[in-house]
Amino acid sequence: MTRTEERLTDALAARAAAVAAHSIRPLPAPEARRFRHHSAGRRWSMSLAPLAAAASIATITAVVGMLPQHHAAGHGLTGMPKNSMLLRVAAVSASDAWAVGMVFSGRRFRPLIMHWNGTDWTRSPISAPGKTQDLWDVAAASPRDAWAVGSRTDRLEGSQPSIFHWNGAEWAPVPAPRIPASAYLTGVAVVSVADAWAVGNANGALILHWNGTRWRNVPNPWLRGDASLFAVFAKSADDVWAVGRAGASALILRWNGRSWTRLGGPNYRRYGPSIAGVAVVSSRLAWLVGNTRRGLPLILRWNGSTLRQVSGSKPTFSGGLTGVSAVTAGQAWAVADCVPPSTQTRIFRWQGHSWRRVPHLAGRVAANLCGVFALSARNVWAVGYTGLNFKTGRRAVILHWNGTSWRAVA
Amino acid sequence: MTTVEPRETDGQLADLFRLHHTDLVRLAVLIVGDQPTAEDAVQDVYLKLQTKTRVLGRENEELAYIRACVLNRCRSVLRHRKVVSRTAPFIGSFADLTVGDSAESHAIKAEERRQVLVALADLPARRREVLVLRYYLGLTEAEIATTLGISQGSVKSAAARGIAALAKALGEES
Repeated sequence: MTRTEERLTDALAARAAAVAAHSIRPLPAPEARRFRHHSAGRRWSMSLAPLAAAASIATITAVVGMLPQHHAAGHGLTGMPKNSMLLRVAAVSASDAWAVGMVFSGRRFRPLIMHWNGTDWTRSPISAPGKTQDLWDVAAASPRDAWAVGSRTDRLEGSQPSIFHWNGAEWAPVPAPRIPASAYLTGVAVVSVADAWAVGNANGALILHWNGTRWRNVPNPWLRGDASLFAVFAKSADDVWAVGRAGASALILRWNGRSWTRLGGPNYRRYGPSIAGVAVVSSRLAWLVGNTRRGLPLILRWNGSTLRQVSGSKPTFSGGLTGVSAVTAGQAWAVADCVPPSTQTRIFRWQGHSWRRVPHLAGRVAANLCGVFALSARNVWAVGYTGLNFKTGRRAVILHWNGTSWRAVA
Repeated sequence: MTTVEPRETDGQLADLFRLHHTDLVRLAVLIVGDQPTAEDAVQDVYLKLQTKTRVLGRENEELAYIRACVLNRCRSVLRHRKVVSRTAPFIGSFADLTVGDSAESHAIKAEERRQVLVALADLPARRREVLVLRYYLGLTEAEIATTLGISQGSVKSAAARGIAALAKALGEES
């Protein structure tokens, strides 16, 4: 390669990397096609079926963010299906954790649920009726009570919310309210067996609530075209946070037990445009992560009354933070996209004073991380995918922190 | 593009589109220069594909088709753009180019990258497209030829001339 070619390659990669996945405006959700055309006995498909994700929405773009193929290939971990991605992880105990995502197989997204029994990660069976079915988030309250949400797509209804429940023996689909628009779920949080929340997009912010019997659509004023929710965190029955974006601004909602209100005044809207994750430690500490308008990582801290951007170490890379999880006020973790020209996995740790990047990962896995769950100071899971493009195949990856180092375990 | 027998496809092209959305926007950014325009171009293609009957080929052909649509859209956006200079969007809405994991990247590095992108924006559309497909996506000459609907010989010559023009603009030996 000549010097000019090298400079061109580098400049293109840098320019592309400056386009953080979360900063990309979502595609409009297409409506379901209710009829198909027939022509001369041939069946033509008219339907770019309504996709869950026309949803290429910020969140999915973040996790499906494509990287150019001349960057590092996958690490060669083979425990996961080909063309798979894991998006979120949740743990009940040291011997009970779930990770969910999707497998691109037969040109379809199929659901992927992995379970940790304390020794191994194994794939959990799940029957998904929809033609296209993906899973975006999982929340577990007990060994017999866990939820997984995402979307399914079929010809008649388009993209619709999809919800599964784990009763201790199996994952079974649970009816979700029919949404007039194309819709999908990207976040779920559980308080108790009779109290859970799911959020997503339905050409606007979508909020669903489980009352122990059924899921209901909770009307909200942000059900507009430019708003979308990406994650939800339930601290208690009367303190639930939902985050996402509304147009070019962060959308941060809080449930006080009676109603959802948008956090802060107009001045808070300078943050964002998009918040991808939230973790609440106490009434006086919450972390929110996402990306800035310039496509840089964003960390916000809530101190009980105000929201402030965490300054300190200037971010030295482009891309957004995708998830955050906290154990205590002095222990929290955040994970990020991995965009070119970097091929490094990005994990950040809060130890009470500042957020610092974890300098080295055992195994040197180059992975886009999407979700993190901290069970204790010595037990943290992070999930995402490695393998940087579709051609070479990408594979879900699971990383574990044992108190000393991060290691890829599956 | 190879024509094959039409078959049931609902959702497949959209799945593919969604899988590559970020990549397509990044590709468009490299052609048109700024992110909002790139997002618009990609979205236009997405909407247009929904109203079009299309015969699907193999997966890589479909992706090549989608990319070709995006590139076509970008080209017409550039053609109709009512700005004085084509390079304006590159410079005006400049994103942070000081990316990278080390401290090496600062003003100088960013400025060097900026020069390359400005020079790239000054190239004729076809050459710019070929260079982006070759050096960003890492496509082979055959794949570029398929995507752009031109011969491999044309790809080869456009790439060579594009690189030569860049080298000249940057004051380097190609």
